[in-house]
Amino acid sequence: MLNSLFWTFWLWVIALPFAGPIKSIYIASVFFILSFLRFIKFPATISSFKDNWDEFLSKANEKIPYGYLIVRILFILSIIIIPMFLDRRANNILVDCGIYALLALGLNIAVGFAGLLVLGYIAFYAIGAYSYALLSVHFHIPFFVCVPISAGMAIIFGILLGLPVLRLRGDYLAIVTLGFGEITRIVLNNWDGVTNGPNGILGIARPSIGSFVFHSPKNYYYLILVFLFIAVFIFNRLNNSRLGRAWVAIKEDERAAKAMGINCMSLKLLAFAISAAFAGVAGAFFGAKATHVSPESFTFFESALVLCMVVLGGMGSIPGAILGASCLIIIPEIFRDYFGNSRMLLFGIVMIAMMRFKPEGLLPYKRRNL
Amino acid sequence: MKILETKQVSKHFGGIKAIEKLDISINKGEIAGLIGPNGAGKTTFFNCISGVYPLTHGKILYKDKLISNLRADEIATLGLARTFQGIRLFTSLTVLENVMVGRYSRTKCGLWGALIKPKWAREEEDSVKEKAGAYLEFVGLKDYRNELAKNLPYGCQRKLEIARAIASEPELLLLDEPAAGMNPSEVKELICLIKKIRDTGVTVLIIEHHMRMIMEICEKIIALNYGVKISEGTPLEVSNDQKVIEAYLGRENA
Amino acid sequence: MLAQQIINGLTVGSVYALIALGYTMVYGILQLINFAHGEIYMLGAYLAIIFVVSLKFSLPIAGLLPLVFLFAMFFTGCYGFTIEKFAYKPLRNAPRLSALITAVGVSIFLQNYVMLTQGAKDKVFSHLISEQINAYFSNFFSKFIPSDGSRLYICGAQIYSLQLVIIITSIILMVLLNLFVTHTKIGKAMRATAQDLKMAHLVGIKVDTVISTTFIIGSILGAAAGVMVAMYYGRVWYYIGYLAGVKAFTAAVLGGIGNIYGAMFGGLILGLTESLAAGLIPGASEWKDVFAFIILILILIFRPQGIFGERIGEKF
Ligand SMILES: Nc1ncnc2c1ncn2[C@@H]1O[C@H](COP(=O)(O)OP(=O)(O)OP(=O)(O)O)[C@@H](O)[C@H]1O
Ligand SMILES: [Mg+2]
Repeated sequence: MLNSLFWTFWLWVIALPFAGPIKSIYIASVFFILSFLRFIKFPATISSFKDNWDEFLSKANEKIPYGYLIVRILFILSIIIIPMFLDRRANNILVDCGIYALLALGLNIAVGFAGLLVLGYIAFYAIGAYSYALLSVHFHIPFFVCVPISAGMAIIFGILLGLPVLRLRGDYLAIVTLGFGEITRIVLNNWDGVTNGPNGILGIARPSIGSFVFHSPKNYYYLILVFLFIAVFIFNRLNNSRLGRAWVAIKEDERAAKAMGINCMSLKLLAFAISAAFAGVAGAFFGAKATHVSPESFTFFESALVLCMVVLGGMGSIPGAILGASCLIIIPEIFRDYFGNSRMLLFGIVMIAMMRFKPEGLLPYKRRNL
Repeated sequence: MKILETKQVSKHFGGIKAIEKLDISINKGEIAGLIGPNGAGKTTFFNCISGVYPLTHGKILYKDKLISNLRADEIATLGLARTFQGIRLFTSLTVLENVMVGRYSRTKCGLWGALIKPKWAREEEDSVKEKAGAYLEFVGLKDYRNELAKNLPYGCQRKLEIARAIASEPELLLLDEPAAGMNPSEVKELICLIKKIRDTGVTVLIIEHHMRMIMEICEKIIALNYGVKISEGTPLEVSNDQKVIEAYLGRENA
Repeated sequence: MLAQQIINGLTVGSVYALIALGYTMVYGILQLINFAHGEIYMLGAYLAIIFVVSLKFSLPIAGLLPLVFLFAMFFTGCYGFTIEKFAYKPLRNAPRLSALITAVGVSIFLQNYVMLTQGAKDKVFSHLISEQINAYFSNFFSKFIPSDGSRLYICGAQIYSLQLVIIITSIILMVLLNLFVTHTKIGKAMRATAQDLKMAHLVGIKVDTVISTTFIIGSILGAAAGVMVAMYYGRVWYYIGYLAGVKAFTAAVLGGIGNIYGAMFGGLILGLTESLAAGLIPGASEWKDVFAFIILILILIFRPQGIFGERIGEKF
């Protein structure tokens, strides 16, 4: 307690030159409150909620025939009908959630599975978005044809970047991908001939199936939902396979993994490429939804945001990634008037606090019993 | 028949000559021991064999095939498994999954297999699970199957490391101080286990400071000091070798 | 033209070098990329401007400058210490990924902390003061170097006196750092800890103190760079730490991360390359920031241990 008070005072002092005497009090008192987190079992409530939920499910399965299936169907139904009750703005936010959940899942393959910290993840998103934008504007290639092309472009860049760097230590990868993110943004900004510089590309076609054109947020919601289902399916399949185990092995102890005959380099490259592909698809979707892309959508801020989602939800966890994306998109949106610009500040604090108090995240991935 | 042969192998770290011109051969089917005082270069030698370090000089032949230019994972795939001096388990995987990772080099389900899960992939996954379970039973860890590896008691972690190594059906198994930190009854179990492994046809090369154990199970012993082979022979020969006694006790006491 | 670019390159290069030292020293001991270190430099720059702006009474430049440096160095030192204590120390035995993520978190936090408290626009020195500072040094240097009152002329290059100040101050600080690590007890302890943390602990070195000191010294050097950049450009922005940080890290890798002298040379080489490439290749100045990253990637491919580095690979 005394200790806490001392450090609170200390923080007040060092915040003085920046914040002045009054605002420093806020900052210091935030710390003071945070310092008690140590004593509370911080977000234990959420994981225990998940435990209870799992228990409830298995009980339901015992009591009612097909209980598990019924609960699942109810859950899926509720996801499907949610947008019917929401207005345009809310649906738009849900679509954003979907895009970020897709990104968070993708980044999770690199970070959560293989332990590759990618700090410039948004570059692959940008590559996907611009690939679709250019193909759509210049060649009028339809969205659904472009999605695999966007993914392919992201994979190509991922491999080109990954090949030289992945054999190095993990933290170099972090910095190099950060640099790559920055290079991508600068190139998009300066290569006027192709990318139209800071103004970006306008008039990107919306997705369409036959004569049906996706235009309202509700339409996009269902589209991103399909993408997400596919992503979750892929994620799940990978996770519970020989590859998934090998990735965890690499993440935990590369030397031991090699001694098991795991070719670390090529598996890391694979994780990196799949991860990039997810971002490429998300990027194409983003371009199609916004109908306009410009470099300012692809800053380091976005990369950090996605990373924060992964960390908050729990590395390697599907519900975690989705929860993380939802929290970091919806909560600031609800409290927009209160948070204002301090959104990012809170993300920073969330990342620090999570690593210190709950590094496994809010909805940690549990190894299955085989 | 020789399963492993090293020719003039040297490994230097800057000025330190951790291994110097080592010639060693291990016969198929035997349990061989590698001994030497701390810092003699035993672990470094294992790391050279298993491809962790590139050699400074020399050649390593495994079943008459040159392996010293291969990557660690390629060497492991050839059927050369090892354990580590400091235990290196995949701590956040379950015990069973650790052993399943050990089957990696004997299975082949790749990206498409994982995504599409055709019949052969499902069968492979089932057989991996089944075999991994069998190896757990073999080392006596059946009850810990779904425990996380990091929650195992120390002695069991050692056994798990062995189970993980033999899950790859190696022909040559390198054990780096498997008895370190074990109590006498655990050591006894370990001796049985190693003999059992040998009886399945695996050649075992074992580093150990536990002399009683070495004397009991090894057919051949190689003694190192300062990276140089100082003695080689049956346990009796090596334990009476003046050079070995000096290396352990110092010249004065000998 | 060439001389001009060289001087410009040396100026930015010595700033990179000062920041790079902070990366390298921390990395040498903890194998942690202290991602937030660029932000420390930004804090230093802000502190300089805050100090000068909030000083209502006017001091003669000769008295003001040392105070600015002291003020900025003191507070950034405190920040470095605090960050280590609250963010990194609890994670010392955690996986490296966690510490790196924390570092990213700290960096984001500091950026936005400054943005929120100091405003999202750039913060500017009063014109008078920058000019006064420049005039003061021009006056001083004109005793040795031909000058026209505001600029100096060396080998046909026009340079601002502050550029010389930056280069000279950096050299002095680096010499001091060198003396510190080779001659003081704690400096020697630092080198020992960088060689082998566990062993240092075993022989009775207070590793925690050493690590704190490393953070403080790194922060002080970063702050010095920040103060000088603030004086030179007369303005700062909360985002400058990000780019400068990545470039300084590149410099550290260039010289061999963990190697103090390597960081110094790496900074200079990076600064020179950037400025020569931007000045001599037509149309390249827009792409200036890309060079650093391309250099980084190329080094990592061809010579990951850096130019002078011998600390290769992982410690086991
Ligand atoms: N990666 C390395 N870098 C530098 N020197 C090393 C490295 N690995 C081992 N050494 C040195 O090589 C020598 C042999 O070490 P090694 O670990 O092989 O000994 P050992 O016989 O296994 O000893 P112990 O019985 O204590 O395990 C030691 O002097 C050690 O300091
Ligand atoms: Mg050893």
